[in-house]
Amino acid sequence: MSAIHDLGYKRYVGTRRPTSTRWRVIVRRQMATAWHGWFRMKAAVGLAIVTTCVFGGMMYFLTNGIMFRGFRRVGDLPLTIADGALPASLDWYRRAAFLLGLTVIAGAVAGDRQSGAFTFYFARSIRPRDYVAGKLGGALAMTASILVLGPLVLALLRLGLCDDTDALVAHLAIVPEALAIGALATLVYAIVPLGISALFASRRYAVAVWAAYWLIATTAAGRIGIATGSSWIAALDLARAIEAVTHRLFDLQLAHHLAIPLPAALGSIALHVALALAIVGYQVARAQRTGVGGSA
Amino acid sequence: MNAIVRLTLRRLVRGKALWLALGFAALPPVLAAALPSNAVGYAFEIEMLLYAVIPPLVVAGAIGEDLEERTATYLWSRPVARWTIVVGKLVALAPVVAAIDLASWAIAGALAGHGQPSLDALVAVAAGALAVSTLCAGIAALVPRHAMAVTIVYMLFDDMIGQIPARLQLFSVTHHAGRIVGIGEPVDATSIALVAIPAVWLALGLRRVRRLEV
Amino acid sequence: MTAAIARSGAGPRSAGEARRAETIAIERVSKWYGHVLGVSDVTWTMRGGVVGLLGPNGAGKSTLIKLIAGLLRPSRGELAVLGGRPFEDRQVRARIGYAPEHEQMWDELTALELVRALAELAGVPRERAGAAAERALEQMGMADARHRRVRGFSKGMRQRTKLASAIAHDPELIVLDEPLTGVDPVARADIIEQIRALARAGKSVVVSSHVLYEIEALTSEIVVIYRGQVLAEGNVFEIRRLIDRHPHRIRVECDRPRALAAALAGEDHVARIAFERTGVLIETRDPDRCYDQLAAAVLAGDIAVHALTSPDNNLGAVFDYLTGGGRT
Repeated sequence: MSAIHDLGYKRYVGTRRPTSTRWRVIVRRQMATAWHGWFRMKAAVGLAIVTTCVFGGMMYFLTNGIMFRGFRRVGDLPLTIADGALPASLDWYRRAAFLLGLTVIAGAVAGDRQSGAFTFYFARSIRPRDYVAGKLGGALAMTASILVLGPLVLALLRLGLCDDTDALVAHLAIVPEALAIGALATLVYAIVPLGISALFASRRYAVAVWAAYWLIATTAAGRIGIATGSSWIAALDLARAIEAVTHRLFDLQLAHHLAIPLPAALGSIALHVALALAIVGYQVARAQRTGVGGSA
Repeated sequence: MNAIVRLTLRRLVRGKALWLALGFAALPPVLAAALPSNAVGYAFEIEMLLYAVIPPLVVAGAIGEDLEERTATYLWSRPVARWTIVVGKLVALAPVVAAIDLASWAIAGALAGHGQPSLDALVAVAAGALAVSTLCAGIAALVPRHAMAVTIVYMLFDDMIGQIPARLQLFSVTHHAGRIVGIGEPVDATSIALVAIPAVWLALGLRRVRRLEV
Repeated sequence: MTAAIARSGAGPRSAGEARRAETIAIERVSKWYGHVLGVSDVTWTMRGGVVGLLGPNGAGKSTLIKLIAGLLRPSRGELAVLGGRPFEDRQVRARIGYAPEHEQMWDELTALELVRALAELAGVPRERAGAAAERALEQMGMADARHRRVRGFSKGMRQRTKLASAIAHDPELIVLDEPLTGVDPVARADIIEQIRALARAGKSVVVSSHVLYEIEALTSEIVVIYRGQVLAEGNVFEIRRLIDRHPHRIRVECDRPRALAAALAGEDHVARIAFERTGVLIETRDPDRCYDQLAAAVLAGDIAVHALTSPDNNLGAVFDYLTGGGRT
């Protein structure tokens, strides 16, 4: 005898979050997961905090000292530590961001593919673009916490070290400069490893390729550019490209580097970011189309 | 241990790690071929960076992956001493890493017109690869879930302190490997660090593995 | 009553049973994962045969299984498997075959390569490991697929391969963690028969599951785990009898239920009689007496009985009674 039993289950009839805002849930989840343990986001943020303290300390205690490591202003003018610490610190913030890429971002999409999480995402009314927006938002937020917040703190400290209002006004530009270079570097260090992550269904391989690409491939391109005198090839070295923009923003001159023109640097960054976004979008849409399900 | 070595090598050949490692190792020869002769030193600069990528991918990844994917339960439930699992994988993979690095170095040298690499250079590359592989195995046994990321960062740190002209250099494995081929100070008693540092990491890792529960 | 429920069932029934005494001896074992308690103060002895480890998700079955297989070490208490400590003693692990719950395997290997490698690691000499692996895979119905890579296997095929890896080295004790999860009904019946065959061959088998009818099909010797503690152990029917706070229910479908009810209503062991559409439901504290009196009443009253069932004489009812309905 067949029967249907009322088990007390009632379909939820309350308000539902609009589909277009569900990417925020993915952002929050990604950041919460990254904050677990000591070897993911905490390690990178820790390095950024140490960087801020060291360079901030240098700015405070050695304000009028002369900058080292060949840092000079354009025209070969000397640069004080107060003015040079922030651009010098970016090298270390970028290492912290590279570490974040290794431990969190390069494994973000690859880990989901490896664990089969796509099935969970797309079995709900999550669209591929919601997923991409969520992962992107999470990667950008985490990277910005290192590459934007850190330099911003140092920039504000620099303003705080000004002796009078005139000096303060003269140095005000350092804040938008810090934000600009931080934002540009955030785009690179968040989006490029995310794109590499989407290429693989294994976190291990994605992390390895991100490390190899950053450490070896782009360095090799930079060396080829230096050897052949081609600044456009050299600009494919993303670290150099970001350095070139930093030098232009802060009016710096480094004698031993090949000068990369600003258009080449920005073009290289834009190319990498666009390619990475295209890869993520294509791979996620393909996974959704090939039978994972979910809404279009 | 022989069974673990055979199993590890079979998995390496069937998986993607070997092919990725070969792809990375092809970059210095490509660079040597692409660069003018007065700039080939850059190719060898890249060779040193391979230490930060290939051993973590091949060695640390292999050890950490079993724990992360829970396939370690198959090994741990067998009557094998736990240390043999880590050492067995190291014995299988370290020579592969060394061979890849040696081939990359030799081919890059040949393409750069340097002819046959010197014995010192070969010993330096091989010793460096074996030392870094051992170090990666130890760290992976300590931190299996983040084995690759931690070992990559460690090797970058190792490379950085190796370039600082101070006593800190003595703690750099890549610095000591370079001394064999004449980079930096000549080989002396402190070069034992090339063996001692990886041995310490491996010992720490094996000690942890003895008590590890899956 | 709790102690009686916890240790019901007869002692060794034969010389063989006596020799297999204490295949597993667990004495007040607890296991913590940080602040989370996996199992708490578990005392249990297994003397061979097939034992079903039953409990809802999160009860502690897998923790107990891993303790037995030597993957975990007790935080407290004493655990002996085949006379030794599996976590520390490799020789003990050589005599145990373990199939984990999870599905992850070395996907790049073929089934034969995988089972052979694991057999070698379990101590089978290299020259014999191949044959042992072939035998095990054939026994598990995987002979045709043995040269295929595990990556392309279905769930059922993965489970069979896992089982083959657990038996290839001919262990004395086989520990299976949820071996029937995700398996289709045909494969399930086959695997159940294979497990029974292993027991007939003299192996001791511990099988964990949260699916009641799977355990029922395998064995009547159970250990019920709930919230990290052993709630009951022994023969499922004897455990049921011991739960005297829950009267035993007997459903009789017949042509004259009221006549039957009248014949039994005056008996002191009858707790309740309820009339149903086609029969009568009797709740009794003494099922043996009740069955005897039922038979007599049917004969004396010339009552035509269409069906006689006991909704309680199964594991589901036992589990519900023990856990207060906490089954999942």
